[in-house]
Amino acid sequence: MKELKTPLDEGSIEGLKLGDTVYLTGYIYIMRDATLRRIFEEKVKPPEDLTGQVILFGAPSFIKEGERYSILSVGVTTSQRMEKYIPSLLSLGVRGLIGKGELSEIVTPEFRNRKALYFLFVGGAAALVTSAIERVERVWWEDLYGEALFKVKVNALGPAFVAIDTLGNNLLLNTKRQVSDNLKNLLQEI
Amino acid sequence: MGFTSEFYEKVREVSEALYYRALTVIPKDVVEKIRLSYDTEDSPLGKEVMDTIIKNIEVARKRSLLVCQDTGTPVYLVELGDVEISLPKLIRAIKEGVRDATVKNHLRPNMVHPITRVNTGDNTGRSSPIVHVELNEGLKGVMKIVALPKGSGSENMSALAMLRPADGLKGVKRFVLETVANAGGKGCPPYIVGVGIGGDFEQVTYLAKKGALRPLGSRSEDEIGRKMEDELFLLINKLGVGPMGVGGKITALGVNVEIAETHISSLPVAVNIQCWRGERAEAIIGEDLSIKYLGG
Repeated sequence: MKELKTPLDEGSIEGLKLGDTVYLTGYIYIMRDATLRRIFEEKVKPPEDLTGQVILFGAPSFIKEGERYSILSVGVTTSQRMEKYIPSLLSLGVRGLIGKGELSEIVTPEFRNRKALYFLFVGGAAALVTSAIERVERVWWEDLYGEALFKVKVNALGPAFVAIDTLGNNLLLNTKRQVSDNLKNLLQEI
Repeated sequence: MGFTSEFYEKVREVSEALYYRALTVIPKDVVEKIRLSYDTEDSPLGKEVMDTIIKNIEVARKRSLLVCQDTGTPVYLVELGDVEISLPKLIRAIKEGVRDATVKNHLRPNMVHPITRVNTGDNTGRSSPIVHVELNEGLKGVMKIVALPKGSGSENMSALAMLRPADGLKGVKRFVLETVANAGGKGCPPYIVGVGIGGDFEQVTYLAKKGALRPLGSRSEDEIGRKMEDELFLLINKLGVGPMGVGGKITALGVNVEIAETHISSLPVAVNIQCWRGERAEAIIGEDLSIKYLGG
């Protein structure tokens, strides 16, 4: 288990291997489909420099009282839907992505090239994400509702598991290959 | 017996309560199976994932948080005793319950037009919630309501096949295994796998969903169904998907098979994938309008 402080620098994540468990503390950003479309299709520059930052793929449900936001629930969503934008995100200097499900071999080498990590968070474990959020720092593009860009302060957000490391190893694709072999054998058995 | 407006108000109240309850309290049978599976899992990472799932369930309960952010597609299964009831009033009451649960608890509204993606705003719509009504002559009480706010991650991994009768049992097993392997880690395993066999194109998916809803440890009413539950459970857990797709022994918490008669030239099979959350909440309304919440 390793505790990481955001933003991440190359040194702090260097030795992390597939399956290692981390807990994150500091600011992270939350975004997903519509947020990414705004940045990369509508070409709206992200409001802050994302160098070294960590992004969680999700869409919070929240209430706003005056200028104060409280997040009622947020968890990770399927990262595969964001694949198209991942190379561009990493080229902005983003060093960590948190989501669920596998990313394909197409984007995997980008993590090696950019020295970034993909963290698997347990899908459906929204209570753990929500309770790790200390406060909402800022929200941009509120017209996107839950898909607005959120900057939040988290304390020991985890466990997150290294699913793509900086060498370009991919945990979930390794499993997927194994499952495919197992399936072939099982179909002989039935 | 006839029913007064007070009865339909009870239905609204129960529908509202069940929707929220299903999102915050994991059914007892599912929690127990998750704990048992933690012990069975021997991959260290798989075990850690199972431990995280257990922690999440506890944190949700202690802090009154949603277990998962996906507030689902509202599906209700209503079982009626031998009573005369107004179907329009019943459906309207359930719809109001869904709307109230959504608005009062600030639940994420999920229901959109499939093409324009415009959100209805409160999880109801012309065809939402989805309400299934069945006759249950043995029911103690007037009505049983089961709420299933079905998460999309697992629903998207579900599949239907119209097999040929010659494909037989082997064809069914093959399709189930392929569907679960294809779902991999994407639908949030360990899964509850609902398998429907028989009926027609429409009924078979309903059977699969009923299977996914059936408590773990309960058995198919059909003898072949029961055998298949055991066999498929073992086979699926040899796939190696593991908790959240990290690899391991625990890919399914259970397999529930539902069987119905089918046409001489058909062999429909459906697989409804349910994630580890196993969202389900149920209650019985008695003749005296008493409400009894089950499980949890």
